[in-house]
Amino acid sequence: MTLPTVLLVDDDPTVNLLNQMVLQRVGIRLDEALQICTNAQAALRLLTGPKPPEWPGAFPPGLVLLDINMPETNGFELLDALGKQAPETAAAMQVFLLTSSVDHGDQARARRHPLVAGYLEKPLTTTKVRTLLQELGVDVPPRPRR
Amino acid sequence: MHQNPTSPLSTPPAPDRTDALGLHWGHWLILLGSLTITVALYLRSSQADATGQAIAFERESERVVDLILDRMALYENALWAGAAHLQASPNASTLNAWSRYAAKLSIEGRYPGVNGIGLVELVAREDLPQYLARHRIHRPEFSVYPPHDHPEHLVISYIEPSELNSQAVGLDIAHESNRRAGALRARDTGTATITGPIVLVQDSDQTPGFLFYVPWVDAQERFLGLVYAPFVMTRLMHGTLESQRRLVHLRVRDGGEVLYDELVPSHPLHDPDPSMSEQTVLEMYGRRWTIDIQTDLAFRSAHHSSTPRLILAAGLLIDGILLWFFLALARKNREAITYASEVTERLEAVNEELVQFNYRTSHDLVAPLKTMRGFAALCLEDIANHDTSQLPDWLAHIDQQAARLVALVSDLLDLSRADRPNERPEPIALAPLLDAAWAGLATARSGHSPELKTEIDLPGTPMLEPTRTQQIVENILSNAVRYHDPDQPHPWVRVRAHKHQDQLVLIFEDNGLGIPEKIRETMFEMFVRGNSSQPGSGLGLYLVAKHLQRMSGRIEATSREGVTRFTITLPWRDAP
Repeated sequence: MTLPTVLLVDDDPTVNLLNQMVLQRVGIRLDEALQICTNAQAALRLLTGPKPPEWPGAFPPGLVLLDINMPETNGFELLDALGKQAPETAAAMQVFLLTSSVDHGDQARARRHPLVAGYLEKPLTTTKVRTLLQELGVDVPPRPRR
Repeated sequence: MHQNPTSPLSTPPAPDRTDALGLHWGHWLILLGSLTITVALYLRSSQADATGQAIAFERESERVVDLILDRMALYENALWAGAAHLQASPNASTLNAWSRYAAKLSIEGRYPGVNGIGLVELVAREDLPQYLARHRIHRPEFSVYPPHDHPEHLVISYIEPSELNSQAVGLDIAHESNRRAGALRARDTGTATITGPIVLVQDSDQTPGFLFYVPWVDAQERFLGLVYAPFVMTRLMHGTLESQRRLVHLRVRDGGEVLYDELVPSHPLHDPDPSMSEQTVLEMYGRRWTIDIQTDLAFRSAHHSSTPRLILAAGLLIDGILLWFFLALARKNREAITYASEVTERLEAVNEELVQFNYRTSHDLVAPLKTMRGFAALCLEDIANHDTSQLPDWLAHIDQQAARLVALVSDLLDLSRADRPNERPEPIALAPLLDAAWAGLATARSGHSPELKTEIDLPGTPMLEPTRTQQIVENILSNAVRYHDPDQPHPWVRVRAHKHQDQLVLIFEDNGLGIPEKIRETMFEMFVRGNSSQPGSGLGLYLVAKHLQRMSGRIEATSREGVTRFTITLPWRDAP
């Protein structure tokens, strides 16, 4: 299995930059296989609509990294809405929650949610991403050497 | 917030053992006990009162009866004295001698109620002419009347005072059965007697009366006649009883005939509903007098006791006060319970807010740390790979996150202080305050930054709480700088101050990005941020609103036609 197309949903631009850098290091590049949404509503519109012309790679994305704490619509609410509006799309994706939460309730809720494949505790690192991709059966390219 | 953490505060419903009025059974027990005591005291007092009245009535009736008996005994003595006088000196039966004797008795003074004292002589039918001749020596007009068929005559020879009783002189009392029967009974028994009810010939009012006889015998115990006294019953009773203060009224009957009657509605002290009455029968010199005695109005007023009713009224008043007190207590209790549940509800709401605040705060505190760790991991990787080209970028991000954390902690500290008691207001010069705040924002204003314009038009220096005022100004200016429009060729921030009526009006305007439509309603709430791409805790305007609330101020915000305006009004107080 090759590298999946990834959708990153987080309201914090700094976190998005960090995650973009981490994903880039395992070979998932912004202009090739990575889309970033800075709020849940934008992500929902994207996933429930047709494939946007500028979309890089496969649609719907094979992997979604979703922040829980976002203003207005949070990660769980996005998943609930997606499950109702586009269940097939939701089922086709591997959704991992990105959580900085220190609240164990959030982690328990993530485990119980049917659309959640798993959760990753922030910060995202190359090690975590490699492990995740290996678990998903993806052939991770070797570390780029300079 | 998607979480709904359970509040640790919860109130089990209080068991309610009270009734609809809010009274406990114990209250009713006390009321019932008090009521029982009241009624018992009332009954006891009433009973004591009734006993007292009965004793008083008995004493009073006995006194009245004794007065009548004593008086009759007194008259009897006078009559016996007359009889003894006659027996002792045979010449005493002459007119002059009898007049002198009667005068000595001084009837009017010593024997009030008696009409006179007289002498009745027994005259045999055949001796009548001789009797008449004897008396006509001194009284030529003397005659005996009326004629009758009885074998003997019983003629009133004299009666003193004669002028009051002149009609009785010469009356033959044997002509009438009552008079005759009484006289013969005195003769036959040798005792004092009285007649049945008669009307005296000398009584122009024709009211009931009687004659009181004592037999007159000579030394050989031969019956010569009677010493007698006529009585008009009303005079007798008035003479006997008038000087006494009485509380009872009476009626005297002899057989079926009424001798004397006070038990009539026309009597001024008559009590139509007497509290007590009794009947006494007296053996009265051969006659049987029935005396009906009743209490009168004087008795009623003398023995009317208000004590039982006072006890009842006082007891009921105390019971009423007790009931009122219990009801007031129950009402206060209900109010306290209501207040407690209201407070609990408020506490629960506050607690819920606090739980959400903690959740949000801990998240916001942890998030920058995690991001810093992420960039630190990138740094370490790059160093391991001997690639340091991007290290300055990663370190700059770490620094930025650290700054964000510092700002957040600072805001949280301000927030915790916002609920402290108010400071003492001080004269605040606004222009220097604004300049200082603006200078403090120098780092944030790097590059293309707005220009500050101030227009202060105040009649004096206002009195304001220094820390709160400073934080209000800093937070609003900070927002204006952070949300300035980078595409605006001439960005500006303008602060105007003036006094309007009793208010200090502060207007902050800028031509920045404006307030997004979606947060216009919520911008003064906790953790609401205009734009998540900008750093900030989301506590700035919340803190401003909180400070203003504490200072009795107001804030309004508008954002239209490229100008965002915050208008603050505060009560104006002049510096002394």
